[in-house]
Amino acid sequence: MPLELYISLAAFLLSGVAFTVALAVPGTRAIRVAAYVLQASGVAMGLYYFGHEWLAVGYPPLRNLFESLTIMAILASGWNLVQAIFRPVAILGPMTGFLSALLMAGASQFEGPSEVTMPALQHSLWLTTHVLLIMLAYVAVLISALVAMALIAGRRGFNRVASLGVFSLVLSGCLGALVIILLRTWGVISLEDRASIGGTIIAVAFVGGSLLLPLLYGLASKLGIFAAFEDNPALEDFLYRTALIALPLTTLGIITGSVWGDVAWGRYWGWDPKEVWALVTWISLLEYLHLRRLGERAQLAAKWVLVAGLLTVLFNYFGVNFLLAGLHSYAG
Amino acid sequence: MQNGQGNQPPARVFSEMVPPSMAAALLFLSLFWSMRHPGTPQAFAIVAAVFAIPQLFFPFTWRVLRSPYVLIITGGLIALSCIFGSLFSAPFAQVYVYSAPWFLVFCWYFSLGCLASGLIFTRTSRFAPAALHLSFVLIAGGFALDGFLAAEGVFRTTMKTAPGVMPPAYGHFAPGESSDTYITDRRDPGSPLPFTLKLNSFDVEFETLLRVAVTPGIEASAGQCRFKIMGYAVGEGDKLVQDVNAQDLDSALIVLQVVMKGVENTAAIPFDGGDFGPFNAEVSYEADPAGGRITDIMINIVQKVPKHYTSVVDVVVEGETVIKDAVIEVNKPLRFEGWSIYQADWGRYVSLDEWESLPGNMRSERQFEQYIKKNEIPPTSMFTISRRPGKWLVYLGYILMCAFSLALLAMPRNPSNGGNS
Repeated sequence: MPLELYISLAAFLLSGVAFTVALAVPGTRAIRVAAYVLQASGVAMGLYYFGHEWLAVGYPPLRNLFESLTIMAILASGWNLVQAIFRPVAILGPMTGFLSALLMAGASQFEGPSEVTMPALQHSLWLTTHVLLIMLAYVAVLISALVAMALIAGRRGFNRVASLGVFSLVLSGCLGALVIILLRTWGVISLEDRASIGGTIIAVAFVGGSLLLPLLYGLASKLGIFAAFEDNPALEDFLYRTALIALPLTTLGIITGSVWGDVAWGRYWGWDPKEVWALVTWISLLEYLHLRRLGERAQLAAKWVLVAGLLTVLFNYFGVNFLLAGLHSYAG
Repeated sequence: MQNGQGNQPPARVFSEMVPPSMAAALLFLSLFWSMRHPGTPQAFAIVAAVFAIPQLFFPFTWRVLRSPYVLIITGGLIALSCIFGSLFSAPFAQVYVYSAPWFLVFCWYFSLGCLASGLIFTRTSRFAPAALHLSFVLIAGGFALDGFLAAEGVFRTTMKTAPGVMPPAYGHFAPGESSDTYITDRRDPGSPLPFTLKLNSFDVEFETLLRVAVTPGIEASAGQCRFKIMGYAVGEGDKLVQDVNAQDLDSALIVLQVVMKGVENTAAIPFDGGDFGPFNAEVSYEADPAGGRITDIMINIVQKVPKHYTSVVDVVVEGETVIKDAVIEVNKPLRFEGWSIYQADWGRYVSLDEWESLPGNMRSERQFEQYIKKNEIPPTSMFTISRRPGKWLVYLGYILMCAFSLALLAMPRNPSNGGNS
């Protein structure tokens, strides 16, 4: 991974820490400002790399998993910066800071800038509009699903444990994947095929998740984090608005992909696994917006549907790229 | 939510329920028939359409369809079916999941739910959500239309082959070859087209990463790869030498070091060129006039994946060339009278006749490559051809969906009442 992106990764990680401190300790305006400055530097560094690579190659660097994870990390933090201008949401700072750091760290484990621009990808207009829109949509889905998880955790009883359980599972899965890939690169473990790597990551996710759950639960209870999410109309409103933006973004992302598919392959819909999982994400957003109109119990179900949306995005990104073959195979 | 039956006399409820029950029975029978006869989902779709759409006019069904639960439940079922289908290979899933009658039932009821919701929003003059729901109906209509009328395949050309290609490749044009028939698979006898496509020329361009004279120590990088020419050798395992004589060419090698993604590899490339990893080495040389020592050795390292391929074609109708020298590239199809022709693939093939005439030792991969190079056999070009009359309905739906989802976003709303404007 180029040096600019390592700097960007460090800036995102530090901004996540600074936002958390600013959130936990009242009256630390200077730290919050520093967190924003750090996050903005991370985004600027990432954009510099993006522009530089675009100029060097002639095509936007959105051609493989490394490049798309990089742009996703930049967009996630960029979302918080734009949100801060219009209506700051305190929880979004640490969430996007750590999310961007995790995405950038994930990118660092993949093959780096694409050496080949496949003929099908040699269309700057479609490559830019389709990939950027769908990445932005996925960022919106990730953010809204994380907020939905926080709001579900604000309820007492089973829902709290289940929500934290899903969060622990996803977090340990992502961190576990990073560690496994690092150990494999260093030659400590030998996992050859993608299926055994995938199986190990899933096992680590479940084992790590079950260990992380009581730890996170105890910590969150002690620090009073659950109470902050209990009956929080401002956060509910933010969730709704984010999902409302995510839906047209996903729609536009799928439609631009469909039109591009028609131009390049002669079919506007080919039931390719990538298309199918994007459709499932789109349906999860539709379900959320329809369900939340149907009363209190349905509101809870609606939030769980968004959490399922997060899992569909993760599977579309990693599961489809590594486990399922299709027309989008170059993305992995 | 209204159930609509609370204050109605039982006779009226019964009379309302008779037509939908009959339709449901017919739908069930057609579904049963369709399942007994695989591959006839279109027939089921017709029956479903004929009996399901009029249901909108029956009050009972209307009440069911306009309920958001129809969209929520059928949407959920479609999502689950999609997840199920993605577990199989795309061609299998396309036939047995995405074209299966049960999947079409979910899609039909989702579309009817959208239609009903769209009409209700229209009645209450809420045009943005109405258009949004109706746009999905247009998209579904376009898909359904294409289910009946779409055509897709490749041109029928002479069968061709190359080492390791079995059964023979079909759909590949050699320059000068023409075709007026398309086929959907190998066993398809073919359907006639209203025109003939003739390939005039085809050009494949590879990305050249390194172009140097062979001098030991020369190093260059491209992307994340670094190449270093170590020298050349006569015979495998020999010491690197500076001079190669013409008589040594059969056993001469160029020794190349490639550092790719941090991993270092040394590759020995035959003097007439060859493959290593994702690259191809093209070697050229000149011998001194006396025919002894080899001088001026040049090596081009190119990526195996083509950077660009371009076909130049003519479209001929009843013996008359109506389009001359049209260029077809990836992302740049040729459209003619409702048909679209796409650059799909390329290959290095010879016709079956030519293959049969090759001596046995020429059928190995290495010898075949030399044969292609020596005889300057041009690469072949492959096109897919399709006609999708429902596409414009789908695109109209797309435009409406994009426009009104953005319009809905811009409208002021009150989140506490479910986001209604």
